Amino acid sequence: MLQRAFQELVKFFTLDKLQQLILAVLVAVVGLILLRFLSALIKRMTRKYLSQQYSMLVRKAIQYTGAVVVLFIILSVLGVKINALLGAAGIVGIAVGFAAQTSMSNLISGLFLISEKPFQIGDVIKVGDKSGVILSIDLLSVKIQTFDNQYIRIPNSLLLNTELTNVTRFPIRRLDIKLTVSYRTDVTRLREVLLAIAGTNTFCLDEPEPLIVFADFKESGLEFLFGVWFHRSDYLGLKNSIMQQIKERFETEGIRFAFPHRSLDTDAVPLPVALVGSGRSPSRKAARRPAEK
Amino acid sequence: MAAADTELQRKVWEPRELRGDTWYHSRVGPLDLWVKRFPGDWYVAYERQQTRERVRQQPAPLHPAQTMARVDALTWNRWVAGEDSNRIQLVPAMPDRSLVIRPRYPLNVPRTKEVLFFVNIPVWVRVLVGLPDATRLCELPTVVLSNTWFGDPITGELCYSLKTKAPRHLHMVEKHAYMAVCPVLIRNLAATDLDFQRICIRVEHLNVYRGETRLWTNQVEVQFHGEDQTSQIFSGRRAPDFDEAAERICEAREPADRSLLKKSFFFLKSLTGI
Repeated sequence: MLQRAFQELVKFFTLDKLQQLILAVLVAVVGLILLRFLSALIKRMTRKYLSQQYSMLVRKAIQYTGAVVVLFIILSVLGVKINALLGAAGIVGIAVGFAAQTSMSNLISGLFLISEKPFQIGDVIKVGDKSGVILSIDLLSVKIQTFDNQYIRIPNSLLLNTELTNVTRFPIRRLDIKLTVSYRTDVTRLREVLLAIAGTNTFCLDEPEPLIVFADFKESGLEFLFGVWFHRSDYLGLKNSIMQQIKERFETEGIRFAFPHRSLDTDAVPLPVALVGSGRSPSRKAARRPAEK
Repeated sequence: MAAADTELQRKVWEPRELRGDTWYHSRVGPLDLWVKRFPGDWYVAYERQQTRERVRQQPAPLHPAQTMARVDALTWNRWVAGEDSNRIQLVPAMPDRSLVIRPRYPLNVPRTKEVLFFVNIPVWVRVLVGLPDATRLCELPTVVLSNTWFGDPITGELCYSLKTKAPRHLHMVEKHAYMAVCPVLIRNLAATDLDFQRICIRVEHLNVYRGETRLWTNQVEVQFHGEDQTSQIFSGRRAPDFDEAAERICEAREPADRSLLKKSFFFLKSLTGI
């Protein structure tokens, strides 16, 4: 039986068929090489005039179209009837479309993201509880590198439907620090100290000027908002240095941070306190009494 | 400034030949610089002391260090160099970013009037070796100026901030070896008064000149045409008239004309997004 199958196979591969097969392989190889060359050429040409995302879009479109054209040429060389195939492809396309809804959604979302440009490669974004630097913006997803060096793939449809923060979109930012100080604090002196801290910190910008807002009278202290502006690349340097400066300067100036506490005020000053008994708790005294009797 | 001080100020910026086995020290305003030439290497270290006393202290050209006490405590930077030359020159240069000048008191310039004032700009010290084919080792600011933002938070630019008394007469301008005097002329060509609180000077377009007793930059002229119109800023092409004999000691970081074109094209780019 095996011999018979082998004989049938040999009969099938006539000289014509072999020639067609070799031609098809040649078309495939040459076609793929040409497509790669074309892709590299387009990348070079569009580098100066288009953003990375648009350039990638153009290259992908040409690659996929070219691959389909090469495939049809191969099928035509092999003698396959294209018309029947196109008819079947339509039906298959509908079936695939239903099955690939999520992928299509991501693809369409990717196109919207590329045209809307809420971010670009190199930006730092925050999505939910994840934040990181954008490595690539692809048709189906965006890849980010977190600050602890993890790789996260975020589907484009999620990005389009979620609130997203582009941390580095604008060149400068403001760092807002909430400070709660004791009610005994001299507010004027506090303002002077905070302005002096901002003035001596090398990462703080002179302008826009630092912001000091007397925010609220809280239960345990006075709440202030201290906002300093910085260049987006100096976030870590500023955060660490200014927190330390505030702590050290407050200690030097005798400005106390507020902490939850209760003050008991009465009409009589000072509050009279009398020592009753030997210091044992009343419950212990009551428990001991019957035995002592 | 006494004649001795003037002489010292000139010598700070002159080229010198160093001996290979000696640590050298120079003082330019608050900046202390140490240099040593090893076979194949140059070593440079620095520190700043920004105190009132230091600022008033005389400059010191490169000289063999009097004491080695500081040498081990410093952070040294090392450059690989050829064996060809032991010559070194310290050159004063303008800061690497634009300066936002803020007068101590807001200046009001009535319409059709003009005002000339002077700004003392702390220079950067550029260390050049291997003369005459100079190789730049490093650039160090004599004074570390604070950063500021000029323009709106979305499209502005990062600059240095400098407060000035804006003296109107040259004899009121303090003489310091590490400061270059920039004459600023503001012409109010608008129909309204100009309440001037800050101005951004593109120091990257300014040359540094060495005069008899001071360092100078080109004169800067600002023509104000009204709040709703762009002001025009011009940089002179030669030493200011106050010291015509001043020789150019350092060229501008960027030639003025090229930069003006560049700014125009950046404006167009920001409009089209391409």
